[in-house]
Parts: sequence; C-alpha cells; structure tokens
Amino acid sequence: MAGFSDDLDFNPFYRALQTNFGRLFEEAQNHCWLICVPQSNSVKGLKFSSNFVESHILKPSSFFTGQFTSIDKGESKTVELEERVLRTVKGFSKEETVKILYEEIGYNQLLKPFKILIIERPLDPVFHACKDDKQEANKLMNSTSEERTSFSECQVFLENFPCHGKALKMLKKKLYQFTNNYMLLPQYLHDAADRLQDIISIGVTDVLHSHSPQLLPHDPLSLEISAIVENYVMGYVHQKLFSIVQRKFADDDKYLSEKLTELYRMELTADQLGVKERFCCQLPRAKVELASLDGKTTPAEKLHCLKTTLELISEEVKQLVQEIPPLCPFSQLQEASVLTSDDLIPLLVTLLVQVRPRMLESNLYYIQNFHWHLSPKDKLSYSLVTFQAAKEYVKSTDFTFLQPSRNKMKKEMSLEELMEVTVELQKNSSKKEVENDGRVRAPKPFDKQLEKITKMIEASTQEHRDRENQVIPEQHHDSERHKRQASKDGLGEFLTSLQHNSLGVSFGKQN
Amino acid sequence: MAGSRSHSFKVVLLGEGCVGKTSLVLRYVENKFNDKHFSTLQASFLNKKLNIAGKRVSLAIWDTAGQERFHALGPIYYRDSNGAILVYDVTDEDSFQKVKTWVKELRKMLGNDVCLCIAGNKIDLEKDRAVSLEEADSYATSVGAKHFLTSAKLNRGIEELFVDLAKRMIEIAESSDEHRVNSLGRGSNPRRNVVIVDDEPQQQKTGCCGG
Repeated sequence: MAGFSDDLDFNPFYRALQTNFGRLFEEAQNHCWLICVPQSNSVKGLKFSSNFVESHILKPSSFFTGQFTSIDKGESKTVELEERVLRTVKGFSKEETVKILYEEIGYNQLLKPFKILIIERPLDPVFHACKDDKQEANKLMNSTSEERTSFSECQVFLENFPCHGKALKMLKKKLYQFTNNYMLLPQYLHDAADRLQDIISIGVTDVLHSHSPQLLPHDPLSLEISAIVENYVMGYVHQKLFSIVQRKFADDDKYLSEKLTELYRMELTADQLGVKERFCCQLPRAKVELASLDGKTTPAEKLHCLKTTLELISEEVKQLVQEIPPLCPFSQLQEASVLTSDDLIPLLVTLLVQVRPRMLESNLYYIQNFHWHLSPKDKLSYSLVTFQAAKEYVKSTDFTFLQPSRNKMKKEMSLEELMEVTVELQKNSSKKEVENDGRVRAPKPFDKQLEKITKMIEASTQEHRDRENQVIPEQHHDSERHKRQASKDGLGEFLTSLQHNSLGVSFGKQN
Repeated sequence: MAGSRSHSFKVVLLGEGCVGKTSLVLRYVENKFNDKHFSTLQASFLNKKLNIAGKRVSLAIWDTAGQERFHALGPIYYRDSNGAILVYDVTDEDSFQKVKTWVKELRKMLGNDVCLCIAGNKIDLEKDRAVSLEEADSYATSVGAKHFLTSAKLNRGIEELFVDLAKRMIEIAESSDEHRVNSLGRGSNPRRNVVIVDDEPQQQKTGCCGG
C-alpha cells in the first residue's frame, strides 16, 4: 500500500474534482482541457473554492500556442507550459514557476484524450496549504514512507494512539486465547486462517471505531491501520503458526533444499540457464536480503523481503549494464538491455541455488495463505508469483544436461566482502538524501540493504550477549520497562519504541 | 462510492522473445515527466495509470516468461488476470501460432471474463509481412479478442490498444459488480479481504424503529 501520497485516488484536490466539482470536471473532460493537480502534500487540509478549481483547469489560449487560460468567466489567469514546468504569466498574485512532477492521460466519454498534470504545488502561493499539526495520525503517516510490516513496528504504531487502548486489549485477549487454547494441526491450517481472519476483521473494526472523528473506510489511514492490525496479529501468532506450517511442508522443503544443494555442488551459474551474458553477475546484496527471509515473522514482512530481493537483482544487474544511460529516451532503449521475466526467473534460480533457503515452500505457503491485505495485482503479488515460478522451475527441471559454464560460481561471501558491500552501499546512499524538490525520498533497496547488512554484522558479533533481550510477543513487559526508562531520559514514547526492533538488539547505526 | 470511481486491473503480457513485446509496453508506460520508469531496466512488472470517463484505472502489467522452457509456469502468472495482451510479430508466422496456444490456455483457465488483445507488432516491416491481416482479424473475432496492428518503433496503435482493453475491462468489472451487489462477495473468493465495516448498522436500526 505504499505510495498513498502520490496517488490521485488519495489526492484531496482530485477527490474534490470528482465529488464537489463534478460538473466542472465533466465539462473539462468534454473539452479536453488541461487539468493541473497539485500533489497531495501541498493541498492537505485545504478547502477548495471555485476560484481554486477554475485556476487549475486550463484551456488553450486563443492567441498564443503554449499558453493556457483559466476557465473562469473573464479567463483572468494565464499560464505558460514549458518543458517541465508551468509558468504563471498573468492574473496570479505573483509570477511563479511550478514544476510538473508527472503526467497522466485521461479519456473522456468519447475516448478523446486530455492531460492531467500533477504539479509540485498550487499555481498561486495564495493557495498554499498551512500544515495541520493537530492531526497526530497524519504526522505518524508522514514519519516514514515505508510500510510497517514487522510485529514490533506495528505494535509501536498501534500503541501510539491512546484511543486504541480498549480495542487492543480486546485483540490481545483474543490472541492470547488463540495461542493458548486453540489446537493447530497441519491438516487444518485453513481453519486457523479463517479464525485469524475473523480476529483481524473484528480488531480492525474496533480500532477504527475508536477514532474520533471516526475514520472513513477508504481513508488512507484506515487502509494502513487494517494492514497494520493484520501484521500485528500475524506477528503475535507467528511462532506457533509457522512451526505448524513448517511441519506440513517438511517433506517439500527437504526436497527443494536437497535439489538446490545438488545444484550448488554442480556450481550452477546464470549463463548455463540461458541468461544473457551481459546480465550474468554475482548478486551479493540480493543474496544477503534473501538470506534474511527466515528471520522475518509476519507474512507481509516476508513478502517485502521477496520484493526487495527482486529489486536488488534488478539494481545489481543494472550496475553491470553500464552502457545504458540511466535516463535514456525510448529511441535508444534496446530491448536486449531490459530485464524481462525470461531473464529474471533464471537469475532468481541461481540466487536460490546460492542461498539455498531451507524453508522456501513453507514461506511461500505462509505468505500466500496468511496475508490477506494483499492485492492480487500489485508488485508484491508479482514478487510472490516470481518466486513461485522460480521454485516450480527448480523442482520440475532436469539440470543434468546443462552445458558447462563459462563463468565460475562464487560460493561464499567472506566477512570482508560483506564489509565491502557495506562500504560501497554507504557511498551510494550518501550521494543524495533528499530530492531536488525537497521531498524526502522513499528508501531505496540499497539503503535498506545497507541498514540490514550493518544489522547482520552487528548481530553476528553480539549474538550471545543480546540473546536474552529478544522481543517475543509474550514478553512485551520488557519493552514497556525500556520505554518507561527512556521516557525518563527525555525520549518520546514513539521514538523510544522505534528502538525496539524485531531482533531486540541495539545496533551501532542508531542515533 | 470511491470504489466505483477507480479500478485496478492485472494485465498479463505474452509473446515470444523477439516479437517486441517489451518495447511495446515500455513505449506505453513511457512518461516524459517521470524519469522513474527508465531509471531502472526492469520491465517484468510495470504500472500505468489512466483516467477513462472520470474513472481511474490502474493497470499492473505483468510480463510473462515467453520462452518455451518456461511454458509450464504460465498458469502461475495468469491467475486473477483481467486482461491479456498477446503479441506476435507480423513477419513471423510461428509467433502467431504461439499466440493461438496462449489464447487457448487463457480461455481454459480464466474463461470469458478475461479481455484479450492480440497485437500484430512490427508493422513498420510491412513488406516482410507473413501473417495476413484478414487471417489475424478473423482469428481474433473467433476467440472473442480484439486485434490491433502496432509498431513499437513508430509508436503506432499502442495507445488505442490499451485504451480499448481498459474500456472493456471496466465494462466487465462493472457488470460483475452489479451481479455481486447483493452479496458481500466473500464466498467465491478463496482469499477473503478484510471488510471494514462502517457504522451503518446503527443507522439502519434507527431507520427501522422510525419506520
């Protein structure tokens, strides 16, 4: 569900066009006028007047090409469309240049096209939004653009709203009953899934109802909360549930693991599987990411791990294909240089061979059957399907007749190499933290990876020392104590709880 | 109400390696103001949003492995698809035959609810054409698909193809929504969604008493 803020579906101005200004919006479509939509953050909390709307729907000027006028009666405002900006020329409180972030195409009833430009901010500074600091929820939403998927993140998030107290108490009671009184059996996992779905469904309703003013079901925060409740529930029951899933798939996991080990011994490489030579490379970062799969405790967290793994494969291959300029226009784009599923599947197979995950079947089943807050159409689902496809390919293919490889498989990563990857990533991440337009960018897989590698190195050296601190759902008293202690030290409750991640260890990178 | 104004569709892209399916879809999602698409070279999953008659449509375009050795993996990708674009090269008869195989598979697995578009790509190479327009047109009609002639190189026919596909997918989605209007739609879907219940039951109660 990431990316709410950039989506027109959640853009207050676009929503206003669809609802309160429907007639004007329809007229604009019928005439194929240019519609300028200021990005969500710039119009949050604004009330849209007719003046605002009429200033952001533009029709071509009858006098000059490239110029547009507002659609009010007097056509009082003029805007010029340049390469990647809109310049206000006449009728605005002051002359401004507003960046065009991206363009969407719309089609009217007759399927005639018109343009929607998503712009950095409203065309006139008079309209600029003032920040609504009262909305605690929005502050929390904006604190990170990354989706919360781990148990501890979700727990922190839910507990940060004082209004959730009663609903969470009820939820915990149900979860306690589930973990202590419900008999889980490998053959009846579907029944467990139904029960958990009901617990989640009631939990979501209770949590949403506790808000005042009440959250609407399609509010982005409602959608986020329902995802977070699901992750919280799944994280809570993970230990008990996943052990049964593992039992159910013990034979399948063993078979797959043995086959991967056999391919590892054969030193299977990407070129043997027909991957284009220019895409054949070592994938150290993807390897580290995938190796962390078994340590994740919610289906959503595991699925994000699969998605990041695929993104890292793409990024690592991209680094190799140096000759493609990063922002090349279509005319220069060579189909042969683009990573398609025909390449991605065998690349993933070689990665699986190198990592040899021991519980892949269990993990894929777990994600497929215990993650309900998942659109079957988005990139996360695509990631799951790609892994399923690669797994099926490994299982059903006879690899004994492969041609010998031109390249040599690199079997293990030494600690030094792991450190090198970290340093390299650090260089990358320090290049630019903030985008030109001042928005904080979403964390790239590289950055997340850097953090993870650091964590792994730290964790491996502190393993014994910190074992007793591990946060398991039943032991949240411990984290409560930490929180109280830290609050005394002057840290806010929210910041404090962020310090407690799923591994329960304090890492060197913390501030 | 917001649901009726937006649709999210999954579209699978099928075609043999050299028919230009990747160029075709990259050409479509290309956005001159947004560099993000081309900052990465992956084309296995692409997203495109468009607006049709006031409705927002989000297309998730899934590239499907086209090589013969991955043929058996197809069904894993087809699941839950609303549409499919089957690309062949007008100069390559074999690639057209392959399209026929996929059409059969898709119909078998997804029935008539999946919207099919057959794209005869590379019409810039008209002089080498190996598949006649009549043959492709009549085949498409016979299987309930639409046939388009495209050129990724010249950017011809691509927008029409996607808009037509989106329009048909909306029609199907809306007609099935009507069928579902009296049920919560839980039973038929093996993966149930979390239903966010609004406060309406209470309001209904008041209505009942009042009535």
